Amino acid sequence: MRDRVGIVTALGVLAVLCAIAPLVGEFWSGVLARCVSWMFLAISFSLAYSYANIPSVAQATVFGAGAYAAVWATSLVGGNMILIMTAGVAAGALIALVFGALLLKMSHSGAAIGTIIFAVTFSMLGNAAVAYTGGTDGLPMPAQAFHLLGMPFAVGPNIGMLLLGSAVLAALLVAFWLFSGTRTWRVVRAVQQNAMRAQVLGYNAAGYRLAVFAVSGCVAGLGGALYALISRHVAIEVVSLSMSLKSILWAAVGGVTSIYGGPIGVLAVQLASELLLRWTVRVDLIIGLMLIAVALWMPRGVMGLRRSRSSQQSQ
Amino acid sequence: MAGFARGWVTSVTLVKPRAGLLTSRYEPEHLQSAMTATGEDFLLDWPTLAFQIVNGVVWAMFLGLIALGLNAIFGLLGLLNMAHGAVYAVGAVIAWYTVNRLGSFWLAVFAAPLAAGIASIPVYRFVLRPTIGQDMMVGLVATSGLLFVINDTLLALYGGSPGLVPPPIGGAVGILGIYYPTYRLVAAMMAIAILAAFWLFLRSTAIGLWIRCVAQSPTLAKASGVPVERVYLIIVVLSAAFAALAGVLVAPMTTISYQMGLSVLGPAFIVVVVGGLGSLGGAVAAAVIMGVARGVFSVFLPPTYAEVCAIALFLPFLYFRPNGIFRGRA
Repeated sequence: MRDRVGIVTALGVLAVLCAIAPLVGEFWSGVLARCVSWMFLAISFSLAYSYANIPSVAQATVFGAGAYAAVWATSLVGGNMILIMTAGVAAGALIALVFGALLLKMSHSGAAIGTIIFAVTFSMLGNAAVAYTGGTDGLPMPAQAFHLLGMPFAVGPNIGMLLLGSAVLAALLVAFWLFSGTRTWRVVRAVQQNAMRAQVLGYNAAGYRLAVFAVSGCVAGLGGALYALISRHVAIEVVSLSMSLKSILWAAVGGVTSIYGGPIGVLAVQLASELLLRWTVRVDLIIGLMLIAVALWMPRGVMGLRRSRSSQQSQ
Repeated sequence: MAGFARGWVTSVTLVKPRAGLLTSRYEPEHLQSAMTATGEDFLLDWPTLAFQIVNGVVWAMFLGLIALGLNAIFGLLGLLNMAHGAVYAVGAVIAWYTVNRLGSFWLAVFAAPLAAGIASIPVYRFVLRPTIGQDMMVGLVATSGLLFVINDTLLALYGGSPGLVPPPIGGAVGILGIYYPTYRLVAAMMAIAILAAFWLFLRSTAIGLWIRCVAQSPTLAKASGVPVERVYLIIVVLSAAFAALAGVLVAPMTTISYQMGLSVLGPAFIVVVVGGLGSLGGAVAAAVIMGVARGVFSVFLPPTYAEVCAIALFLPFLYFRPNGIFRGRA
């Protein structure tokens, strides 16, 4: 059940990012740090889609809730980064629980539509509630003396935040890898594969799905909080439908059925976008074409390629 | 615009625009005074309410037209078409071009659906068809890609600045004790006529019968000799044409922008779900309920909050009737 190649690949990607950061300069370290925060978003989509069986097109809403919660929490609790990230996790979990309670009653496609409705509605609401969200101009992270475990920490698009984000993500991936070998995880997989059968066998299928969706919300919320700390600014764009669709692209490129694919997908798409920006402003057009290409020719993503190759070899 | 204004000022004074579909361009003065009044001096008069109810019903017709295509593509092809709203934006932008460059609004009424329909043929052939029958996420990713492509192409061709299209028909007519812009009523009538024509097309033509057969069981339809592929293509072409036409008809009533399609996706999807996936009548009924609710809310609230409240009103339906309130009659 434990995907050893997947965890090694994902940790390898993070290790390479951290290793090259001092060599590529402050700008690229900032770009990579933001990429790491988006990896949480991609992973949260994979969790929701592949393990909670909820094709959530509103993960950016949850991510944005975490980001805004981090900004609001900073005003309240000061620069304690543990508390700020906890606020992001709590906000993500809360939003995911509310969404999940509504979505679990729907069919698979109905749930996808439900999340589209949530994404669009919250985006509109966020744009209108300028006093709380800053609208398109966004909210700056309040100026504070940020500290982590009692030590001063410089937030922003820098190497320190890249290392912190990578360390948190690595810990999360390792925890998931360890958990994926447990009996509880086998029940989650059973529910994901056939909720009705699991229910008949005596498992609370809806409860398991809701719990996994809430965990995906925690992951997205944590990513949002890190994003706020890295960017030092949160605009309503982070909760937009476009952002949610990008998270699907990242997950799809990496392989939506594996949470270890998220880091690869984010890096491939975002680094390609950053490089393309030097030649053209039509990056969204190229992202759109990439989405179509992934859907048509690589629907299982990079991780799926590995699996299909191994299944071909076994045949 | 001048014609509209000339007719409108015979009854009420035009006031400043606010954001939002159908409430963005011109509002009678009494509406603004009612909305700016606060606390104890707030009085809800009949003309205000009647105007917003009629506005809501008119908006519902366009929403129904947009949701029709969304519903048909989901019902038959099993695809959640994220690019549907973008096609609606294409229609509005084409209207802006024909009015501002060629001086004719009515040209857009024919050109936009035609262009969208023709463009949808290769899109179906090369993008949508390969995703039919696959996991729902594959279609979602592909149509999301189309959404990005269309939006960015619109940004490149049309630009990021909002645009206005003057109504091609000026004046206002008396209805329910208020004066209502003639163009909006004409446009709503056109939308109703198209919805009715599509219903008749489904009920009384061979292709309509094929469509209904494929909606029930594509496998059985194929075994019975129904050209399923052709039916899929027809539905994709019609859906694109309807969305583009809705964009053209709405263009003189709202502010045009390359991203305007995103804001209709939420209401259109909720109408599809609440009306019952695959139910044409249900979608139209849900659109009317939502439109009226939105109109009534907009008496008290700014347009965006009114829209959000109208959507929130449907959340209990999503919870208690997740398969739609009209599902049984589909």
